Amino acid sequence: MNVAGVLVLAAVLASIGMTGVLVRRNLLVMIMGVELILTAANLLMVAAGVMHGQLDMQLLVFFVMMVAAAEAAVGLGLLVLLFRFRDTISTKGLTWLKG
Amino acid sequence: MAQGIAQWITWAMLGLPLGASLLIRWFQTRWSVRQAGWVAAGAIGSSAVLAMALVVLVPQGVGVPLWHWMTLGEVSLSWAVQWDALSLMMAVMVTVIATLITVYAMGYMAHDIRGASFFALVSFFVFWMLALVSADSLLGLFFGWEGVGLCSFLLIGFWHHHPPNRWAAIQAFVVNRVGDLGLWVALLVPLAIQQPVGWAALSAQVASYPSLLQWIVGMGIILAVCGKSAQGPLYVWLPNAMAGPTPVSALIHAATMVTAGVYLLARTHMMMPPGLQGVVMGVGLGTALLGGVLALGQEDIKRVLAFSTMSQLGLMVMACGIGAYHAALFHMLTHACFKALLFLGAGSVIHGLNGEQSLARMGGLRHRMPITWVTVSVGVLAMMGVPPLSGFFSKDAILMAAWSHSMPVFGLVVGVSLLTACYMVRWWWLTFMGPSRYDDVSHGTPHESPWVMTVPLMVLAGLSVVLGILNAPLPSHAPLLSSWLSPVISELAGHHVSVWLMALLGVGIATLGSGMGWLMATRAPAMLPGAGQQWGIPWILACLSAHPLRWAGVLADRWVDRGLIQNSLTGVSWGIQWVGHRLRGLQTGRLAGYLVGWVLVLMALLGSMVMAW
Repeated sequence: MNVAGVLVLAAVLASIGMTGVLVRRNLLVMIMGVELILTAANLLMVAAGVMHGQLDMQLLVFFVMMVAAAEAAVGLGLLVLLFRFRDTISTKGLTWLKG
Repeated sequence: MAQGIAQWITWAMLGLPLGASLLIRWFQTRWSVRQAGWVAAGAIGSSAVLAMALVVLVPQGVGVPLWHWMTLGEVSLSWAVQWDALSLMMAVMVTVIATLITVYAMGYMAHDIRGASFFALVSFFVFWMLALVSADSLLGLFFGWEGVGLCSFLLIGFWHHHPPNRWAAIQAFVVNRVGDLGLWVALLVPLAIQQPVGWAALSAQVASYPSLLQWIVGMGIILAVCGKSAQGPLYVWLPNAMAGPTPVSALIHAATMVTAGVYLLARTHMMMPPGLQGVVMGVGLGTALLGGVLALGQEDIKRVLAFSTMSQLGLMVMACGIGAYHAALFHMLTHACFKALLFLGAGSVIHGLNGEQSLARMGGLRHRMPITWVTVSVGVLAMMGVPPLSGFFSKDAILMAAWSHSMPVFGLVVGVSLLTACYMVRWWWLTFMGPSRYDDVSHGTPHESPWVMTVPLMVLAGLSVVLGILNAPLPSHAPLLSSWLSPVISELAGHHVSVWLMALLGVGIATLGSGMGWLMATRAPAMLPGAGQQWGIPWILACLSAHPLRWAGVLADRWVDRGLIQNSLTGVSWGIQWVGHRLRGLQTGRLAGYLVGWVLVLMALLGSMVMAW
């Protein structure tokens, strides 16, 4: 199995996800970017497990998926709330975190 | 046996005035001046009786432990009393005169709305004064010393609604503090080296010190004497202390407290290194002359007496300096009587003239106040040294000692005696004799004082007449006071001169001086220009001490307090505000910005991990 190819793929996925989070202003797209980063991490772990011939990493992936599902639920809930308050899901001009 | 009785008597003697003071303080708003006065006079009079009982019971003295205070390592501090001829003499003098003055004050303070509290303070003073004279160590003496200083402060400022009185009280307190510093040093040096018990042990211990330490102790004592007895440059507080009620001037600032310095000199005479005796003599002589000259130029009836007190105290200190302790103590005793008498007489005049104090508006009072006039005249004669009144014997003793010491000193003492007669007669003439210069309208009709005031005057006049017997050089036996004092304190000055010659000289001085005084009073009442302001001496002293200190305080406030400390603290506060102001820009609240920061930090961490690996 070409581990190097999988690693490159994970890096590409992570970069795309990171770019999405950083560059886009649409909160939905930003959450999708986060999901992509998580997927890249999962891919990395699976590849590492294959490389070392261990099952631990494959097992860990299920936990990450679970966390990702929870994160998506919370993130989407926040998104809905934001939409109710601002009638938009763009983060442009959103400075509520300022103390 | 004797000690047990002496202990009870001591407790009662000290406790009565203290108890009376607390009692009067408690009831001061409910009691009238008379009630408070009788309580105080009763307590102080009982103390006087007890003091005389001690003289009869234990004439040779006894040591009485009163109270153990604390133990600090090796040092055990306790309050013990040493009765001997010296302390008993002081105790009798203080209590008898205080009793008479308390009775007098019942009349003098009768119209004062706060008169009752006055007696609380007087009783309090008597307690502290007794503690001072009876203490058996410098520490105990120091407590009394501070206590009488406090009472002096409170009583000078008794009429504190008048600002100059407050100022005078503060001045007296602060100037005395300079002297107290000296006593504190003289007290700590022996205590730090080894704990002595009793005066004799203390003297022996100090005598074994290296000479530098002896000089430090001696200089400390001299400084203390200067403060309390208004000697040398520290005299400035005494004339201003006349702001207090006249009985206070008589009691504290003429008869008792100011003599504490002379008492201290006599008490510690074994500790004074011979080299410093000359300093003591010089200080005393200089003060005696200065006080005598300044007394000639005063306008105020009480200020003349204040400078006279300063001058006479100078004579006593001078006598201590040449070793004539018996003469000094004898003069202290007689002076306490006739100076208290003169002050009380002056108070009677002030009372009769509704508070007038200027000699320029008196005169001719002998017809209006005959009792005051006669008694004060006795005091003036005693003070001038007219035989056979008490002042004659005591002043002659000092003259004889000075003669034995050296001719220049003798000459100066003669000068002081001349000045004494001169200013006393001038004062007496301007007050009682000649034409009257008071004004019946503004002063009311001058009247003789009530009996509570005149009876003490008469008693003091009687004492001023007969007290000379105590130490008169009688042909049949040795002088009484001297032989009593001899075991405690030995007279070092010789008297190698004919008694009769000295007596003749004394009379001559009194006659000549009174003639000069009469001329001054009738021809030139205000002959000494600038003497009222003491020729700027207080101003010069203030320029040397108080003003530089105040400037130092102002500069320290401006440069250190406000300049350095306050500015550096506000600087720190401004710096923090500035940094905060700058850092606030980072808190944009924008999500993307935070995420970029997060990624950058993450990359930096990763980078550092890679580098470390």
